[in-house]
Amino acid sequence: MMVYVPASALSLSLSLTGVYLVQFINYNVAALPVSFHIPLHRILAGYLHSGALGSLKAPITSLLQLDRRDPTWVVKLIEHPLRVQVLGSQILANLWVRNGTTMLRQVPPPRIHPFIHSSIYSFMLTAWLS
Amino acid sequence: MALVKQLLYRHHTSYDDTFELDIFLLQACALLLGPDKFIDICQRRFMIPVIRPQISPTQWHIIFREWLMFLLTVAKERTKCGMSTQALLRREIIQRLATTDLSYSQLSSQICRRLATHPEFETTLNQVATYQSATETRSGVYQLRPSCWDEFDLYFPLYTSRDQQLALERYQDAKKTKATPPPRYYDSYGEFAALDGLLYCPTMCDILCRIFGEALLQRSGAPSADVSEGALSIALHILAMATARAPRTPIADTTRPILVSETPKRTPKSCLRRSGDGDNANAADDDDADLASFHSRHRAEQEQDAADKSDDDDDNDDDEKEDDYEQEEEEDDDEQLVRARRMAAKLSFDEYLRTPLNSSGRMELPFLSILLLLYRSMKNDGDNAIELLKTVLLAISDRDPTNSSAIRSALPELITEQEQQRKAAEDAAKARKDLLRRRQQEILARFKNQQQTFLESSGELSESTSGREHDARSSSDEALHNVREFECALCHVSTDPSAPNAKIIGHISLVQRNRIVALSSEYDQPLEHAGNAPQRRPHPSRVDLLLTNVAAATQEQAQTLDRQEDDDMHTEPTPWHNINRGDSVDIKFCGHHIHLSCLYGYFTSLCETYETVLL
Repeated sequence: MMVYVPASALSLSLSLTGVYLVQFINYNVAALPVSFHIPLHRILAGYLHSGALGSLKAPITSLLQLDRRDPTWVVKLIEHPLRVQVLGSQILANLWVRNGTTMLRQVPPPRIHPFIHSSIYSFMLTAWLS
Repeated sequence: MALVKQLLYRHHTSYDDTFELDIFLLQACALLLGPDKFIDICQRRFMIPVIRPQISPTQWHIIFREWLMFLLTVAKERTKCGMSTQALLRREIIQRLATTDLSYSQLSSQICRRLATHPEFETTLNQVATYQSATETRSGVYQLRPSCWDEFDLYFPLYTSRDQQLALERYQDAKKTKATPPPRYYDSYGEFAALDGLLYCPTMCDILCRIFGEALLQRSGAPSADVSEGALSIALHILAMATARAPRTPIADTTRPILVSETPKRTPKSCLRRSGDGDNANAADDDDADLASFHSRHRAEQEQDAADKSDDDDDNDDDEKEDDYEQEEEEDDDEQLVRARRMAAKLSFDEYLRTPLNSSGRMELPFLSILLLLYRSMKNDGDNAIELLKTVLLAISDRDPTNSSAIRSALPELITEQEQQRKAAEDAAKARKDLLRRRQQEILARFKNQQQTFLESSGELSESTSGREHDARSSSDEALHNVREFECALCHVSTDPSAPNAKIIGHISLVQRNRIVALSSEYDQPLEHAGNAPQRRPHPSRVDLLLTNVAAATQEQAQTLDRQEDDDMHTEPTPWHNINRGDSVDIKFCGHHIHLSCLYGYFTSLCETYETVLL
């Protein structure tokens, strides 16, 4: 289940990071919707893992067909897995302790149910590739 | 339930399809962006400096600790990028058994199915653990072998804080120490080896320096400083790994990103102002239309909010001015930060440790000075983490002579203690080697004496031309002179063979066929004859393997006897007749003795028993 974030909640700013200039998407994980379920990112991770470490052994840049001068796409790619980690740390810090029933309604990860694993994943993969 | 959800994310039924894939994707992005950019984005996403005043200190400690743990995981985790399945299986079993002893079913249910159903699961389990049989009050469990505690990783990414605490207590009990375990390193594959840059890039060094500086202030009683023990331990862990992995070249050479954005010609501050001037300014630099649209919408919303606020309350104008002033201050700080990191990137890791970077106003004290002051403070407090910090300082001292002299001048007792420990270890190793060498020489001399005694008693090697054999015989005579009595293995009566009218006593030996000994190169050569009389081959000078030589000599004797039989010469029956021709013999001694009469009696009883059974 994907959580669609309203566009008004996002903003883009240019921030200074180290010695480079990097775009950063302003997003407050504690206040805006975040989901643990990011199947498309995980499919992409599996694809990268198979391509970079499998029999192909191709560089990541060639697998993703990236322009070496444009890290914007990677900045967006990193967002959702990073939000999951941030959400996990906030949950451990008891910042979400009052949202108990809300979190209860979320479905468990698709890996537990083989039927969902086979159907939803393939459906999302098709949607992503199309 | 939020906690349940978080635990489910790392649960054994799903972590290989959720958590590990997320970490792998983040690692790939860290490679593409470079360590500095990646850490900075993570820091902003975790809202590390921003969220602190909004939450309680306990919550802040947990979030900060989780953030450091996340960076450490991305930097060192190799589950999807380097570790083989066998290594992964071994690590999983060790980490699970480190928390508590588990039965087979409990263990297989705590790791993912891909590993639990691996064909080498049981083999690996038996390698790393021993089975404790079931008792009346407890089922049979597997216990981690003591040697496998060296492979224990305290910061295993799938541990909860409770698991970590349990495993640490068991580790300290097993190792009988209060120190935390040293870092574990995993091999990486291909381009993923560059993930080590996350450990020693300027941004990480800056973060570590701030943590140690704040810990130092906290120990000196500053009220604003607040660093938890867990965060300090993880920071020490990262520093230890960085010290071990950092190259001696400048940091910038090894932490370059794969994707390099175009270097802005304008200053960062002007870039920020220009991006805020209009919507098209950012779109011109950024090819992504979505991000540009997000930015334009946000700008429009901000302008709308500002207009609403100005209509509502005029006092907010002062606040906005203050905000602008703070923003300018932050931009100035950012510029200083950029300058400091640019300077740090040109230095090597060792140079960075001793460089104060005062020109940019970032660091008033060198990183190494902070570490030394922290060591003194922790030593006074008796902190458990001091062992790890001590290890780090010694590693820094070993890496660079300049840093070594600085540490020696600041903490002479540390270097002196290290040298004393090293010297004591070398002396102990040398003494152990000498003891083993003496013991080995004694054993060899004893064997030589016993064999020479046996050969002399059997009369086979009465005439020996080798000076070495003469020495051996003289030593065996000395041994016989020293040892007066031998105990019979059957009647247990001690007998002195030199005494008059003493019973005949000799060694118990096992004589058997051996084709391997016959392959001795020297004895494979044809014998030389002087006429019809057989000539004994000179005994080889190298008699290290005395058994081999004795066996070869017996083989030669057997061949000589065979030839004598062919010439119809009278021969006495010898034991060698029982050995087939063409084979060699192997004689083994157990070190016991037996009377000849006892041996005959034993054989007689055997024959009688055999006849009784037949009748």
